[in-house]
Amino acid sequence: MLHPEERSSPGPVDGDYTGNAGIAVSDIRFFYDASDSSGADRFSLHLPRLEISPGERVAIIGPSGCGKTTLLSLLTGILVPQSGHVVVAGTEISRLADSERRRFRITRMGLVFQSLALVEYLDVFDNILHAYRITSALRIDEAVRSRARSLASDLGLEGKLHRPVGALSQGERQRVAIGRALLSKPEVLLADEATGNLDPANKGRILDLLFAQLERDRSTLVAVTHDHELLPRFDRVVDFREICET
Amino acid sequence: MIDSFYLATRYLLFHRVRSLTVVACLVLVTALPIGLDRILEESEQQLMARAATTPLLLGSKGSSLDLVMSTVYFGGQTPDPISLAEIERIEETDLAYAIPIQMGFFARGAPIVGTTVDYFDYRALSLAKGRSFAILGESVLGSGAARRLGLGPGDSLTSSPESFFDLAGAYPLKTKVVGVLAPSGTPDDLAVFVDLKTAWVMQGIGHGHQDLTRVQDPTLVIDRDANNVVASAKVVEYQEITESNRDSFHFHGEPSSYPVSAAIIVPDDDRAGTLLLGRFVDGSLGGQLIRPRAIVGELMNTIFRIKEVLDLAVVIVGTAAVLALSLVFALSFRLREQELQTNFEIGASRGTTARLLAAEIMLLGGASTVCVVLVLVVLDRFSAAIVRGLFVT
Repeated sequence: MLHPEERSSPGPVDGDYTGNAGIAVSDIRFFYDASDSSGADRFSLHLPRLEISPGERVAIIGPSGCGKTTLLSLLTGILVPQSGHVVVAGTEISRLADSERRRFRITRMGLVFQSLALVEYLDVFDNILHAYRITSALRIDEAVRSRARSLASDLGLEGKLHRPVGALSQGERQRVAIGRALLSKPEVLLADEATGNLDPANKGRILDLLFAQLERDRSTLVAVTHDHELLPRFDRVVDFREICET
Repeated sequence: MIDSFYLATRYLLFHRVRSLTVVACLVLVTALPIGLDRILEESEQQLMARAATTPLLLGSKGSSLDLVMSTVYFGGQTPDPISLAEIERIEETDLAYAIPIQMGFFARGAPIVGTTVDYFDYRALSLAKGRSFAILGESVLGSGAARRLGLGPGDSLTSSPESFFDLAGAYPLKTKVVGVLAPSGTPDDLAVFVDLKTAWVMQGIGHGHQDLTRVQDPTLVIDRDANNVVASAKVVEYQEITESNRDSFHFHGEPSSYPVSAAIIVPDDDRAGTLLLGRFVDGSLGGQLIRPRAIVGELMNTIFRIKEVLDLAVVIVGTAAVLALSLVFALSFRLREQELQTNFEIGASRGTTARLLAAEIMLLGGASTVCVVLVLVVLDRFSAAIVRGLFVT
């Protein structure tokens, strides 16, 4: 592992991988169209090795098209590599069945999408609770509702719980997306350009809120970003430029 | 826990205009044919019930349907009159008795029916208030007419002039309301009944005025001899029949030539009825004698043939509506692609999407079913009144 603010590239495979880290990726190869393995244009990502410790905050940077978002999809199990291993919190999710991967994702991971992907017909409170409403793996009880209210309060949304998300500013919508990702106290939070559309003041505030929550829940953060001003705030920065060049 | 119904409810409420439109379409497509069936069923029931209790109807030659609609249901055009003599000829056969009906006048929109007290007995109409008409110038109101006009025994009701533009037409006649009938659920509820002679007074056949043998004003009399006095147009006819002027009312001409719109003919038995019908076929009696049940039966057959075409139209429109709704759902599904993809990425199963959409369809279907049931309950409650409104003007 590199020191905070130190930049690294995904390293080579180093013997058998044991999977003790928060996140461990070894020698994954992913093609968008697996049936067409002959065409070089189809190759999307080859990542020899990446280890992220529990509670570590890692930023992933690099030019567009290098596979940063694809990596997040592989880490969440939305995509499955054609070869290699993806281990998250001790579970090799690339070996799990589809339903098990979904269950793992919704119970142990939090996702903040680049587009935020809020549900426009729900209010702030229901958006924060949304993951609980679309799966049988999570149960809404008073403790969950209370935590949702508390999260909303911590994120500065306490007076807007029953406002439709369409009536919120971009910064407020971003906070709702973070609230939704954090509600289940995920072991790993994956964020794709979570502050992409915000002004500098709001970016700092959103990151403060995010880091405070992660600190409280001792969660690991993997964030894809293009914003180099934010990099000093992460424990480690992984640069995908090298992958892109290879 | 998957809150499919909660999310579906929130979605439908958020898009409430679209949801209401879908529900309205479903209600229309479902309730329209059922409601139409119910109205037709009620129409048939009411029309046939009334027709069935009118064994034979005597009237002038012409449209038998107009004759039935006017004198049995008190709607439509008043038929040409027959003379009282034609009714007398029927009674002279000793095969039936007749109840005359004189139509053509209205009082504040209610049809005035000139008849005899036999009509009430024959139709089994009972009085809720007051008494039946007994002397010239009295009227009895149907329950609906009394309620609509706000009148009861002791009030007065004036017939409408025949035409505002016919200066030579009959004068309006003020009648005294002496009774109100109990509701019967038939066109009788909406009518005003007067004695046949009162109806003739309204028509101008009978009238009352000052005694011309005693008047001093020479301009009131055109010619006078020992047996006859010819009045001028200056003589004013009484427009209300009172105790003091009742005796002055009189009729001109031969009573057997007085007009009636129709007569309900009640034969002694089926054989008598058949014999009477035979005499109209061979032309030995004037006018036409018809069986209202047969006429209404033909009308209903025509209506049901038209309904078959309407049913086909409803099926076509219904199919188009279902296709349009499917398109709305498909487009809505496409618009929600990102939301559904997000659900999947968060960790929801593909089945969650199906459950969400099924919940929405069930909620829309449920709301539509409730609305259809409400519409049908209301229709069922008011179908009798609606049908009466359609066929009785």
